[in-house]
Amino acid sequence: MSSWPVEDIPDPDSLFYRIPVGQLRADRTVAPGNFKENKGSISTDWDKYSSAAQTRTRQGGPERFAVLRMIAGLIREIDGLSLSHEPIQHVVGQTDNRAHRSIYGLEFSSSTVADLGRKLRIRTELYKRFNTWEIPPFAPVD
Amino acid sequence: MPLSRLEKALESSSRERRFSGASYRVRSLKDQPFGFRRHEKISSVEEFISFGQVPRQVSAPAVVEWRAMEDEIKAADFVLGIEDDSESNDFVPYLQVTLSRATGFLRRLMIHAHSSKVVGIGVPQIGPADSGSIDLFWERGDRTLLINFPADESSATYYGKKPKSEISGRFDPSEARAELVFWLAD
Repeated sequence: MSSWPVEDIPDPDSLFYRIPVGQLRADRTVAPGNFKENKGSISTDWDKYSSAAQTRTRQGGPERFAVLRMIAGLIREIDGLSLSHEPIQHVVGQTDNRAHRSIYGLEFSSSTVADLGRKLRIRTELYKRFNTWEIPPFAPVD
Repeated sequence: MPLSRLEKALESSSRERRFSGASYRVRSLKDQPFGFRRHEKISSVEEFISFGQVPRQVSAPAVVEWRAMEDEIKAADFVLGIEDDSESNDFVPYLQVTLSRATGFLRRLMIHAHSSKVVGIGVPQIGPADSGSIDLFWERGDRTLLINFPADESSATYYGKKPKSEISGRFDPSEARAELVFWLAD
């Protein structure tokens, strides 16, 4: 059980999103396919409690990752996505992380015609908003 | 009554398949030492279009576009080497069969475009997506088209957006989907 309170994130605040460099094309550019869920959400860190360098290092092997900056308000503009502050504390097998924020809504099971392109639409929208590196691939590790 | 661009593309596409057998050709028996038929993969748009009984003129821009596409397809082999990054607990490897499904579709789409004199649809980025699936992604000015080929044999899905127009849906990846050519080019 976390003793850290769950907080709302203001629209201008940033979230840092870690991407493995092994999944990047040779030109090292961001692509829509880089936005994907892990365990039911897109996992990010809130800049109120984490720097981009800390996000890069959190899983170990920081040289294996690049980091994107995402703006909370621009994520909320995308139809179907929502943000949740989910600090991690005293969880077996996980490092404590007060900055942890989840983006929900990319995966959504539906077979209706209207929803066929839903996930691709959201990935495209995320790519169009967030395609500049905060920490580029192979940047020196602090 | 004149044919529409789409009708011309479909008509010419079926003629290509009839005469040339998709993107393969068969060497004549007299060329082979033991009379075996040999199927050779056709490697360029000039070769594809000039083979068969309907010789065609191929414009230089079409050749350049075809070569750029082949370069992108070659570069996309990197997805086959992607390993579990320990970030996800449901990693699905990227398979040659999935990549071939995506690149085969792309070649058919380009052939449709060029055989109907549509040049300049652009070459998409080919890259990895979730669960072992592979994306083709076109970004040309204010228009984008994203097509995703899943790791299993289920339908490919697509989403495209340009000013005042959005498209989405799914299709059998073995089809060529000529309407996507015109959506990109229009």
